[in-house]
Amino acid sequence: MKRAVTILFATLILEVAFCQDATDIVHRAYLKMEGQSQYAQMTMQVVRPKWTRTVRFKFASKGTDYALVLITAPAKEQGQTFLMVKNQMWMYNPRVNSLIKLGPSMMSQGWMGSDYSNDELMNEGSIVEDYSHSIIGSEQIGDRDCWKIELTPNQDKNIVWGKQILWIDKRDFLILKAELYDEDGYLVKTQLASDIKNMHGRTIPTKFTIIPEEEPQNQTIITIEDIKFDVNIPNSFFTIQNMRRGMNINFNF
Amino acid sequence: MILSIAWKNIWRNKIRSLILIGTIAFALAGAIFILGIMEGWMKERNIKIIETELTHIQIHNPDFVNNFNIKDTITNGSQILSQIKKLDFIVATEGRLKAMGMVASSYSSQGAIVVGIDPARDAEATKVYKYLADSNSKWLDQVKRQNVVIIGLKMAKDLQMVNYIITETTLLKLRNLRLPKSLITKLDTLKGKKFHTTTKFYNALEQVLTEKEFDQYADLIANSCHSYKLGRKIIIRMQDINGNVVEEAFRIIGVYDTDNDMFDGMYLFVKKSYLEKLLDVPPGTVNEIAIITDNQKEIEHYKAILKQKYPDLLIESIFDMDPTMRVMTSLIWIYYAIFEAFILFALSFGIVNTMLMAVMERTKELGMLMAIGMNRRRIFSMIMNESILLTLTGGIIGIIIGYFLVLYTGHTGINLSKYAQQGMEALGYSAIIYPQTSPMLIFETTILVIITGMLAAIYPALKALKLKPAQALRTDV
Repeated sequence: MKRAVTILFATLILEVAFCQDATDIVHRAYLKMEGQSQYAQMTMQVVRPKWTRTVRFKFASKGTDYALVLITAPAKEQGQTFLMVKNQMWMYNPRVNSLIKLGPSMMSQGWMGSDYSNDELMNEGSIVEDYSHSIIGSEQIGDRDCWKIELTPNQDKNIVWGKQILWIDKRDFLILKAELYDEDGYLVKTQLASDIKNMHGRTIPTKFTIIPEEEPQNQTIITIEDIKFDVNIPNSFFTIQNMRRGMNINFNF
Repeated sequence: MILSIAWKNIWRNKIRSLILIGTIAFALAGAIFILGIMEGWMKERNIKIIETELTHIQIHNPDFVNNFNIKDTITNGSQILSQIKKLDFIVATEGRLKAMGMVASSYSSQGAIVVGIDPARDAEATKVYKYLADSNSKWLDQVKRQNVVIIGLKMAKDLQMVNYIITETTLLKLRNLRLPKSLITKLDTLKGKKFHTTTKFYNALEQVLTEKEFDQYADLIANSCHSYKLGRKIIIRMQDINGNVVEEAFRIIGVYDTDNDMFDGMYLFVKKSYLEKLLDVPPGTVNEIAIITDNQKEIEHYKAILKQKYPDLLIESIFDMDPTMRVMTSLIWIYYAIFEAFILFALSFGIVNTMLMAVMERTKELGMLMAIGMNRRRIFSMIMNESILLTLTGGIIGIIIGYFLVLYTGHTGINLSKYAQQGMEALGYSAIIYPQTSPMLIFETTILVIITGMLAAIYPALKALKLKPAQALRTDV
């Protein structure tokens, strides 16, 4: 009897420990790409079978409530800015000097022609709080040894995914691969991360490739050229006045 | 007397008269049938628009229609609702809570209009539950859960909430539509495979079919073998009354299909009480009152009554909300008349010709009748009567044939999906047509036939009147 209880207790503890471990790994991986605020310069490449489109932009954000994006290339869209404050989004086009508040119908359009919708950009759920995590194995990605962790959304959370599987590097806690599944367990899209570099003291992957399972030829590739975390950005930066300055916005933090 | 002489005269040259009667009958049967198709088509669309979307009369806060703001509700909505219910011309009335939102699945996201309604069916002015796409789909009152949603077929496809699997039943169904045999054999290779998204299924089809077959039949094949992912989750995101964004997971319990892509791709239905909670509005809040009246023809009159009662509210009839409805109900008769007039105009040449022959070959007889004292008015009316009787006989036979044709096809339906499913549904028309006809149309046709008979008889009758009895008597036949 006593032994049975001990075994039961032991498995229970193990289970809890195991769970926490997985959650802890995901949390550490999450923190790798997070900061109180951040500034970045990126390139987004939208690849389609018949054409490719490259957009370069500068990006600054603070917490989850404030973000500002400035398009720097291609020349046609240069100077366009996007401002997100809380749950609202504006778009400014300097050529026609027009400021538009994006309504619900516009939010579903792909951002700058990519597979990301404006809606998705603004409403990413937290991989730490909204899911429960469990380690389901170890796997090698490139030359790095990774934990394979399964994320299942918590019951009451509003998550569109049925589950996610993350490959998290054991040494630097980097998410090198993510597979997103629908509720029926079918793979919807795969996100790959590569080109690990040191950016102002943080070691992070700088190239992200998103491959939709249905149309693998339609990829979106995001390359981080420069990124700084926990920079000091005043709240006045995220205002309509500032977004109207277009190419003259000062991103030196 | 004249009438019976006229009738007897028709049958003096049986073959000639029968040929003309046959021509008229054939042409009118065709006209009635074609107009029956149009009528059936229009009526079905009108009924669908009334039952699913616009109803007869709708009441809004005037500000609501401009910017769809959830704050612009109807003040004292529930009170007004119960007042309206007591009016004697009201058949059904319903208070809705409508909000713009975003809907997302694992595959995509899009804009949507969320309609909160009372789940009880008999309380409804909208009857979307009549259009549930399959027997597994449930309506809101069949489920106890609160966070459930009914979406349109178009939206289900866009959100990739549809599975495809070709089974023996699918092939049988397609065979019954008389699709080419070679096509069915090609599809046989896909039998039993399950496709969980529209893209995957279409890609597979593209590989087995030729380009031409794919263009023509892909949608038809897809529509005959899909099933819906009921019970799956979609996320709906809206702004509540305080301007905050709220999001909630809803389970799909049903898919409806009204053959109108614009509607099916935009509107989703949820329980009103639950939506009230989500949007943080007090229970009973209403921003749209939809009304079905007892007589569609009196809508404008009823609207005026309501307008007098509630001067501060925006009251619109279906004709205000969808001007094409007005065109369809009031102008369609002119269209029908023009259509039939053209057919009858063409026929009138044949009638003139026949009557002219009848007059010419009876010159001597007509001269004799005049000589023994039959006056000109009677001669004229005899010829007129002959022509009308001839045309009317053909007309009535044609109308009867056309009527039964409409009755029969109205029962079985004419399936055009083989040719143009996608195009028609994009325009809001069903691909299966059930022709209909109305007493009005039959009446209109009969009148037009009589008029044609009369007009066509004028020239031959005048010709007869010009005969001089003395000369006519002497002609040799």
